[in-house]
Amino acid sequence: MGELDDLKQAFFEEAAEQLGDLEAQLAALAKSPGDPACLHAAFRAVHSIKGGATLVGLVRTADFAHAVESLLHKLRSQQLAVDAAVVTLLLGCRDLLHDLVHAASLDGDLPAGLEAAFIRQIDAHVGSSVEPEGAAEPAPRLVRLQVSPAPDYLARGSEPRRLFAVLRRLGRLTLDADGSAVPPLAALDPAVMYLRWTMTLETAAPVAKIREICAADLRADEFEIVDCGTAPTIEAMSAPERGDTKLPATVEATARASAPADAAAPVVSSIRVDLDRMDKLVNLVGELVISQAMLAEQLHALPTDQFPQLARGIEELSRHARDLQDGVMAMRAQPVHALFARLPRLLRELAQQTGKPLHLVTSGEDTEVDKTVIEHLHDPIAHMVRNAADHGIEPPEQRAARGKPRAGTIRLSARQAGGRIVIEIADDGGGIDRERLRARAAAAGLIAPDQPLSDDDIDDLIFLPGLSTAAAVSSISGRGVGMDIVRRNIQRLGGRVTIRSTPGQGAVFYVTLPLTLAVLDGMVIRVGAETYVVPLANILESLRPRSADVHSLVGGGDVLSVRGEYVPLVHLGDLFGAVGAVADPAEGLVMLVEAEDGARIGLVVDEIAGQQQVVIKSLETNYRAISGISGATILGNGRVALIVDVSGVRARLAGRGIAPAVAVVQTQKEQR
Amino acid sequence: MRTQTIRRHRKASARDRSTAGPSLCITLAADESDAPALQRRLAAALGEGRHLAIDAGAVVALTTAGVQVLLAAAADAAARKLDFRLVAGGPAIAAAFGELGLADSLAAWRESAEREGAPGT
Repeated sequence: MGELDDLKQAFFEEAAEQLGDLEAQLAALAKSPGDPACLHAAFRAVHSIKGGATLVGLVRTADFAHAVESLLHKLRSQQLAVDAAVVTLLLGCRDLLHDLVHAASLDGDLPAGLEAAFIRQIDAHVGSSVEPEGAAEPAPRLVRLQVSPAPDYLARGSEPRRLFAVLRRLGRLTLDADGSAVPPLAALDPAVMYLRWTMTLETAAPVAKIREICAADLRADEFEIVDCGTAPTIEAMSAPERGDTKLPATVEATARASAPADAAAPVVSSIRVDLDRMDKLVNLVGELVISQAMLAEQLHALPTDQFPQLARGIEELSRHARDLQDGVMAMRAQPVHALFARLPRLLRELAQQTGKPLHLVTSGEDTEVDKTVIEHLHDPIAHMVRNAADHGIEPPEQRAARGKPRAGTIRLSARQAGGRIVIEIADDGGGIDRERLRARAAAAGLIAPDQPLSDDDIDDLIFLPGLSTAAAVSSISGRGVGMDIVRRNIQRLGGRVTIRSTPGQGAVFYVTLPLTLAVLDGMVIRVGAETYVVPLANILESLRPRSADVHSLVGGGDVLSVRGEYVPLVHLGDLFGAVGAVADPAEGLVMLVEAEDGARIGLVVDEIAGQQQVVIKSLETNYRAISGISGATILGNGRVALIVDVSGVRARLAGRGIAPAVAVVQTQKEQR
Repeated sequence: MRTQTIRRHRKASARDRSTAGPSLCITLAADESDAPALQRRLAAALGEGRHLAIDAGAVVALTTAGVQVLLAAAADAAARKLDFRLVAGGPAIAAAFGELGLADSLAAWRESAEREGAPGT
């Protein structure tokens, strides 16, 4: 690859990020017209794209970016007011910029003249007199902040990390924490805030914006902001010998502290790494974990007291391997903010198309998840948001008649729970019309008309191919091609999607995903001649049952009585065809596990071999998908073990009608 | 909290053989957001006069209140001339300390563990 190709590749990657940021800023601008921080950020993104495109010879892209930049320049210098029409124009320009860059990345070009209509509109706003070429970005300033939260800061529900995360979005934040006020453990009140901070923010944002952010989280006497003036530029930092360069004391100190040994080199705080290289590194770390497990297994066969150094070395290797793995995973982790930031625009368009006023409320944007997961999650989430807006939220008149606010609300949240990430997409619409859905499923021959189904079972029908709850097919959704694909795409990521609907109050989609696609903590179990791994996150307890506690059901299957609760048993040997597995649960062990929907089942296994961190290998890629199995791994002894998918096993159990039978046993017991 | 356990180390480091006896390993829970509970566990462990080894490998959530509890425990341990070591960390605890400008404290605990040859987790 030549130097220009390398440059182009770097430009395409950077432009993709800048276009994503531009979209998010424009969406924010639609909500807060005239927000200077959004305008500055949008201008910076377009300015960077223009500069990069010029550098790599993409003249057409650079010219169009220049035109868009001129409009943004007018807006941020308040010569023009931001209104809905301008935001719509800017969004259209952003899309064309995206298409121009994308076409160039494929060594192609778009049909000539596509820019003309946009440029005419831009000219209409800007006029021909403004020439922003060379217009400088606002120079970054150094702002010093003293943050001394009152003792009740935490009790107020505040969290400094949230505040600092918001400040970091404005520029480079350097923190100096003071923990001297933290008392001894016995005197410490966990609800009291003791920490204090002195920080420096290098930003182009106005001090008023910083003050506004701080004031939203802190009382006036809890923070102090000092504007130290323009931050030192690279030129200033690389020419300290110039006697005429005078900086405020704090600026000078910061510049000295951050100046590299080679003052001619620019300060670099991050590097760009090709995703393929990252993936290779992740795979290599996975192989290292397997090798470490193999060594540990070999060590067990030796008298460890005779080889203390070896034992210690392997223990250290284990620790370093785990830290390395955590570090690599952290490098791949990204906040879901990148995913959520694209949705305000979608909602805005949906509001225009459906004529329904819509609010989007997001939370948990800082929750981090593997980059690959984020990339594959946008389409499914966008589809669920479309569904909610199109036929979840009622028309405004209908909402008003039901005593609801005229504007519908869609809430999007992300959080970590039990080693997984949970994303919720909730709407306050009418919920699923179960009668209509059931009738449609029966008409389509997907269920028998008289098939007994719980409310949850009916709601779950929306994930069947060809079914829709929409009363009418629209351009947005309602053709019944979607939710089955949404579920399939999420399952491909090792995740699940479920829905919970409350008639008249709305519906919530729950998407649960693994934090990483690469490793999991598991319990290694033996079933007959086979070895399986059960994810630790699913395991509640393991027990050796008494024969008297195991009951056979009339329709087939066993249940186990555990502290007054009947739990359906799954003989993994029968389920997966493992030869030689124990038939009587009392002769083996029962591992109580919990599926994602909270349902408990007991897995009948021969024995537990131990706990181990395992590297997940895709079964679908290397073989084919198997219901009840989420993947495979290589154990320390070099053997392949299948990873049990507890929710999949539970689904197979329900499919065999065993779960409902538990209710029969319980009823019989109550009658007795 | 299935992962919340207190266990004794099988192996003793050079410092463990001091009068304080073997160290206690505190395994932090995945969701260590109950700061009062963490405070009680650490206070009880320090009350025994043991060196402390913190295993935070499973932590996925740690609040600022939890961070303050760990800082206080480390200061207490230092005042009693006891070790306070981090034998396993992870991105969540690193993020919690890093975002609060306390990465140096965490690094010091980790270095202490490395100097002492902390047992694996």
